[in-house]
Amino acid sequence: MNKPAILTVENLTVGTGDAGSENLLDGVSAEIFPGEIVGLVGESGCGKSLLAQAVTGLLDSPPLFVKGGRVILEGDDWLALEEKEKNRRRGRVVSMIWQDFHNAFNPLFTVGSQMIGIISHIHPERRRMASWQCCRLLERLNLDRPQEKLRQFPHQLSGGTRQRLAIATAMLTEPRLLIADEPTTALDAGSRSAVTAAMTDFVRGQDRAIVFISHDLTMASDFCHRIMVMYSGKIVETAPAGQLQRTPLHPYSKGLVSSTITFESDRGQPLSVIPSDRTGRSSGQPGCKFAARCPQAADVCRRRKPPIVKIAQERSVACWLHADRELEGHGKC
Amino acid sequence: MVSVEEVTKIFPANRRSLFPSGKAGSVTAVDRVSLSVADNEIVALIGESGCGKTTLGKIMLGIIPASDGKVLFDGHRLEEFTSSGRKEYMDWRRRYQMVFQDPYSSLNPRLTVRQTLAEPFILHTGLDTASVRLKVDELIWAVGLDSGVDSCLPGELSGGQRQRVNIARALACQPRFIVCDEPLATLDASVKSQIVNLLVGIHRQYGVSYLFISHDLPAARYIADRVAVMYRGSLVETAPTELFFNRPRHPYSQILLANSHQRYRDGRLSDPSVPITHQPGSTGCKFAGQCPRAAAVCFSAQPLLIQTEPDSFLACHLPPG
Repeated sequence: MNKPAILTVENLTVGTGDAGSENLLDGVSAEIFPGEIVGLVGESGCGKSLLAQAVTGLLDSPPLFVKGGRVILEGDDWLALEEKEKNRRRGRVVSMIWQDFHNAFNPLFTVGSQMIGIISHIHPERRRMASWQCCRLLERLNLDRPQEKLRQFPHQLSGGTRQRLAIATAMLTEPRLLIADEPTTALDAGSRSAVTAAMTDFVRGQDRAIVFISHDLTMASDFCHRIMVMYSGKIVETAPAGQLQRTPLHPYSKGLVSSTITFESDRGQPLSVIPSDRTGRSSGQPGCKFAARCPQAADVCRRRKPPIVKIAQERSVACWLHADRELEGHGKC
Repeated sequence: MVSVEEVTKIFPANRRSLFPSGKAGSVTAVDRVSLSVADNEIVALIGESGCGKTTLGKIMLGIIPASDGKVLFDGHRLEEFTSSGRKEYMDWRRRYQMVFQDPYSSLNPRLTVRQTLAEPFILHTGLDTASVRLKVDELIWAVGLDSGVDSCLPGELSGGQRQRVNIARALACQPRFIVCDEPLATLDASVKSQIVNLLVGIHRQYGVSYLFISHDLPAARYIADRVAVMYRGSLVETAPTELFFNRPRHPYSQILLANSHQRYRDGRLSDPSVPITHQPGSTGCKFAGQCPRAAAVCFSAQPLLIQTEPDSFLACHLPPG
């Protein structure tokens, strides 16, 4: 990629203040470039949402706080910015679609007034056409009679409708970076693909990017350009979407891909699963967090943290199994 | 074993509600549906959200009464059990269980996992405390939960763990038939596969039958012997799984399958979920408004579910050749 990254995260570490407790995000590094949709996948509780919150500066603090690392958003060191400066950039530079769409709107005002309020606060020049823009985007998101919906209060709308309204609000603020945290959980197949199509158009030819957080690897690989797989507060593999599905490298990614039920699954055979960690040994041990569940774990995995191995231009994996495949000139441990 | 004949469920609009919805009239959630599940059979019930799948599942277990039609258990009417003595009722209820859709609200938040799982034994068997303890340990092991979770409250468990507690509870007293309502919807890929393996294993080992309600088509294909497709309260097609996935007949089934196969990237789906207002009382096929093949007859008369092949039924005026 030639253009400078919109977002650079370096060695970001987030944890609680308690001494001895484990870090919830453990040295996360990532770069997001203009024009791409990056999927962030992993099981529930692995820290996907936490990363989004840390990047937007909306961490639940206390008890959580950033213990180390840097977040550079459009050239600004985000963690060093004053709250007032951050607020000026929220919406213009970075917007977020929250996972909890039930509480995304104030129950005392119509959704339309809130959407138009937000859009015209960020782009005052668009005040007069905001309502029209809302309706057009909502129609694209497969919502029937948007004008009617905008006049209603949040409790009068279904979960799927509210979720699409939240998506539309974030998209219409036209941020450089849109972080979408599980944005399609309440939608059926048709609306879901309308949302992914709208997101694809959102980044196409623009200086924008989307981080798409999901636990559904199939869906993420279908429309994201690049996938980052997260496990227990670490990014364990980064790869172009197609490659990750065809040739996953990290044992955890392999487990994710092979345990997905498809139309080709053999009905006579049990489905493959990632063995669960029944010993509870993973906590507190110095090495790889996945070692206790990993079918290929060796002694070194339990003792030392795996290096991040850059296999190819857009491909890296944090695993001892691939430690000897380092791409030349990209040494970074 | 369990069958419903021509059941209809109408939810009346509540006119005395604090916030009148303004929508007059009532909602027909299930409209003259006949479906049966045989011994040792898994039937998948698929369809978009809001089409009445859950309501039909609850009617089949007598959890909500049907407005019209018959619910039969081995040829006996539901009323025979519900109106007979407590002993007969409990004995019947023990064998017909449900795994509810929402793993968050279907567990009592103030009971530990052990207490939740002990309850069916206390209700249905005369076992003493020590044997109940053993039975609960066995259940916890069978659904693949850590033995440490038994003293946890539901709030301390993850979604997948809660779903397994739900399944364990339904399995407690050797049921014959379980309605599984979207048991996979909120789960991660690996946990989902674990739960499916668990359900299939129990089915093979104990011969439990399931009505597997889902909109996850690959999972339905994997688990079910037979598929039933529901659209706006009516069954439009039932067929053996292999046949259905190779050659869906009803236009709605075809769109449903195509959608599920389609990649998200191009985003040009023919969407069956656009809410077209079907006037209650109007005649005609409910799908006619969106059907690519609709003809005049489709708007004037509702098609009946008729047998097309030994095990296949189809409700369409103009089935494809």
